[in-house]
Amino acid sequence: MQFSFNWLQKLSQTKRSASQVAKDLTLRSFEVEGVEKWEVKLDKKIIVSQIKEIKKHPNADKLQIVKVDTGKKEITLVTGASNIKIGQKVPLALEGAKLPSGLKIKATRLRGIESKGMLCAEDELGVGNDHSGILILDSNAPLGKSIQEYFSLEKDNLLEIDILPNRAHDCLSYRGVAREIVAIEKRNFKDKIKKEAEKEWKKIISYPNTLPAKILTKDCFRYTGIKIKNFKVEPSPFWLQNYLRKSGIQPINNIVDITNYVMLETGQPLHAFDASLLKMPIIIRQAKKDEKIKLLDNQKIKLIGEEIIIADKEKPIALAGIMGGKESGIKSDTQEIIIEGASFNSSKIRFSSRLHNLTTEASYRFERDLDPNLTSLALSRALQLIKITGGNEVELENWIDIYPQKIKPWKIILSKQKVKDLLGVEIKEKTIKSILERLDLKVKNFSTQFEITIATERKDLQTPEDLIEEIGRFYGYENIQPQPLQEYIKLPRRNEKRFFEKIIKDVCVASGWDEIRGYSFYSQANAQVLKLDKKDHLKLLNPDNQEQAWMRQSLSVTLLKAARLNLSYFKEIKIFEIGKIYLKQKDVLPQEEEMLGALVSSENKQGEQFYKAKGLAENIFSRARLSDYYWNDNINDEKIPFFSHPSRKALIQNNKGEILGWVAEVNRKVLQYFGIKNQRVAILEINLSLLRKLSQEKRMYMPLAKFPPVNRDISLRVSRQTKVAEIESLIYETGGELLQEVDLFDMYINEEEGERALGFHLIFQSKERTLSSQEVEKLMQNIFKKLEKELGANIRK
Amino acid sequence: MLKNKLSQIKKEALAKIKATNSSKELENLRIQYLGKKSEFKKILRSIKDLASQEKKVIGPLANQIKENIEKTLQSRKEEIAEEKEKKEEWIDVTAPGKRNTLGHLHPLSIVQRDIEDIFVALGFEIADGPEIETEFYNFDAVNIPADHPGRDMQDTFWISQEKDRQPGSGIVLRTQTSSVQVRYMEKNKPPFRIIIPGRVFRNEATDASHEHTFHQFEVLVVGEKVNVANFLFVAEEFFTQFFQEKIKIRLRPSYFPFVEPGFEFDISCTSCGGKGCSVCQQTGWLEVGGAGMVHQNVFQTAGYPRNKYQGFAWGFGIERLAMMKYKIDDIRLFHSGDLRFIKQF
Repeated sequence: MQFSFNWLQKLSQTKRSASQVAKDLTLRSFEVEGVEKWEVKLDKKIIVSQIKEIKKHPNADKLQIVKVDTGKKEITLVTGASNIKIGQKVPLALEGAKLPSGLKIKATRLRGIESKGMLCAEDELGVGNDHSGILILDSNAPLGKSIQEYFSLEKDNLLEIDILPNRAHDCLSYRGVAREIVAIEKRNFKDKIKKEAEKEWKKIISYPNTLPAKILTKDCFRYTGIKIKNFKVEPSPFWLQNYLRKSGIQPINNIVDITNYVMLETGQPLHAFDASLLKMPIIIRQAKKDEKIKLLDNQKIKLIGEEIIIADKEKPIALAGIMGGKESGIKSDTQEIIIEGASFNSSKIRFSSRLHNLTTEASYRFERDLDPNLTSLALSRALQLIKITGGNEVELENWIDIYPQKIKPWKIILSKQKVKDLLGVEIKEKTIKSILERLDLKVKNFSTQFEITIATERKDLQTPEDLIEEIGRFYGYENIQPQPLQEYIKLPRRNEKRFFEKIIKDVCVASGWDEIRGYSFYSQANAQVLKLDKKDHLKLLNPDNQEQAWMRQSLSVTLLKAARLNLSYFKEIKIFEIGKIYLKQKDVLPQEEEMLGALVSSENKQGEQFYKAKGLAENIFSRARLSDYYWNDNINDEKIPFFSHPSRKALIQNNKGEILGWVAEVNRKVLQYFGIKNQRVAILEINLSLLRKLSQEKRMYMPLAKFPPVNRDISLRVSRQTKVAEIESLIYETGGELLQEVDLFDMYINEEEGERALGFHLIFQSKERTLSSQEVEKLMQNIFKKLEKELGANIRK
Repeated sequence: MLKNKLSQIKKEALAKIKATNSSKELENLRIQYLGKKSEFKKILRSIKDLASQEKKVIGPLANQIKENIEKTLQSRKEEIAEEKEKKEEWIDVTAPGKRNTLGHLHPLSIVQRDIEDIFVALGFEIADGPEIETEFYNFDAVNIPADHPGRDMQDTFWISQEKDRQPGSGIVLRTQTSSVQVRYMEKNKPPFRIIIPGRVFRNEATDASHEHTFHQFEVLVVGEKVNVANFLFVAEEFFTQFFQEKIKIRLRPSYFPFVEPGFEFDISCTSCGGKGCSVCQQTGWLEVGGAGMVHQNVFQTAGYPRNKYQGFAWGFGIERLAMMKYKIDDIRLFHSGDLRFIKQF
């Protein structure tokens, strides 16, 4: 909320500057988000004038010729404004005057009529935003006086204060914030408004309480109203208008301005009806289904039947706590007025406000649960202001106050030990007592505890902790010295999931892959292109845009998007992400699986990307101590992603049949969709949750071999389709237990011959003895024979 | 006489050895000065004919000179070999090294590890919870009832459910790591110290300082006497370690439904140390997060008796810390996948 510092100063009597007060409030109460200088400097040639004559312009429908009196002479000018009447006082910019916008007023001819000045609207003077018509001044404004002087345009500072939600009920008001300022400065708050209002209330209730009204809903806690006669609707005095403007509220007329002023001052919204337009009694009730009301902003709404409304005998006259109706609103000729101050169930107001998408200054406050005791205070204050601002002929006719369950102050017992225990500092009892008393709380001091009586305006104070917060902030958190934790604590258990994730990330980075992070959702369109939409997805109910529609079940979308982005800058990219995917299951919450996704993109067409991705997987499995897995190239399996290349793909499985993940080159159509040109892309996905379960961290030492190994190499040519895995397992099988290791060290594809040339490195070793070369030679011959016979291999001997 | 001659030979030999640059010439010099036909050998052979007194002088002198020449020959030989090696085996050490190029961790991973390491050293356990959460754990359990204005503060992503949703049984993308508080407390008894790092979501428009997806860090310490002074200690200790410089903490009143008292907390500006600069808008302080003393309602929801325990909780954005540490000016970079960004870390 925006506050005028001058107004706060008047209520709090602070001697500190605006910026000092802003700092104090930020440290002790609410963050002040900005302090802005408010100052209007007006040219002295802008003066108070009075309208003497208004004539239609002979040559233009929308223009009028106006004669104004400056006190010294009469000036004729042409204006387009329609809100002026003879006798009104208005601001006049004389020939030669410069407006705040920089515009210089010159004598000119408008459609043949000479115009020697300009009447000004609020925004043209720089005192507000209104441009709906000429600013109408008080009738007693002295002719000829400069507007600057007349307005006594004092300098001010506007404070943007972020009132916390739990204090909205008392601090969305000048009075509430002033009380905070006084308490911070360790002074006692002199609540003049309240005292004066209480006096006024006593006067009011000496009149008959015969204003007909009844409450028919449990959601209205109090209804207070007064009816006045002989009111004259006109612009309110400029000082009042100015305070409204500086608080961000547009002045309208004296009665509406006064109700708004009182709301700003006390936090209690009021509403004024034209009493002559009501068919008594006033009824506060739940709306009926399909009842209609036209609101003050001209919007017509249809009620669903759950809103609270103010009605007269026949129809709704206001949407309770939110906005009044147009028909019963104040008109320029209204003389009899009913002003109401009410208290409603905050959640009901909140409900109606959401339902009809209407937020007003009133609803904003009512939603935050106001103290019902404020209604009489605010009404009394309003009546006072009516009298102060020239309503001498105004007469109070009658009043009503329906308040079935009066809210009374409540008590909280606060243990002295508790204050010390929670804040971690010993504060003197005297200090505690005076802090609380400055907040209008009554404090009784007993030996081990305080008994505190809470003012009803402080709805937020319900528990001892709430009071400890008040003590803490006014004592000053900066006065609390840091102290190490005292509680005995065991060594923290290691978070195995995070630990594993960290190891895997390190393997990826050491293998040359860069880590990225992607969003947890993708669009339906993305899912369709990757044919991921065959699986049932979790969907967002309220996505901000279509990119956030579905919760992801694969990391591939993010990776492909990142690949596209980086293509312009890098020839080869290798990226990975560790993140969650979300799978529907029977439980209320979905299954969240931790996944690794990795993508490699480069120009090579021979499947290099596949092997790089596979290589990363092998590094990961090696670090995870996983040996039970194999590469399943059985391609008609549903588990393989649908967006892969027709043959460059494999599932990673273990012997229990569990699927750890897959590696695949991405097919052309998908690459095209993502705008990846002249590059081939392979993706690896591994289910880390499963891998962690299968990972063997415990290892046993194997004694070092005592006898030397014997190394042999085999070079062979086989048909293009003969798989390395087949060759290796045949070699192992034939080599027997002395064959320790077989490694592929060379692979060359001869497309023309339809052949592959392969080189394997073999290691023979025995645990018991040194192997003779004849022995190894014999095994090698067996291997050669098998390879030739069973796989048709052509061996280079 | 003989003595002079020997000295003459030595002087001449050493000079020539030092002057030569070729190993072949060096061998010639050895033959010339120490070979069988050399003048030196002649002199050696003639020693036996000398008078015994002269023998005693010339003998050792001759030996000494021989050793001297031999040693000089040897060291010159090594020098020449080394020079040859130096010249012939020169490589350009300014050419790049041979290596497997390393990848890069995401800056959020780096910062998260820093954070976790510091807290683990302080005796904290790392806890986790689901990213898709029930309305109950995300809101009700942390004292934000259905109608509470507190739910206003967060714009929430809701998951659509097939069946008509009963009020209060919605599924949300968690808006805060605080959703793990009650989950953890239901399974663990105080005293404990935990941190909960993780991904959270807010349904809001993105710009340089707002993202719908970001990471938070919840700190939760509960015991019987855990107080505001302890919170200040842990916060000061953490930030001082994290930024590797002395950091001061400033608490300001704030409101979060799951704590009472509630604080907004600032740290002394890491750019100017608190003097006031453009980074901290001349205030000397940087806002880092919200905190407070755990509300008794939260303990009660977790099944703890009321008023038995006290604790503090605090939460902040990991992105925000990374941005402060590396002076990153746009939060959207973190999830952009842009390697020009990632490769800087």
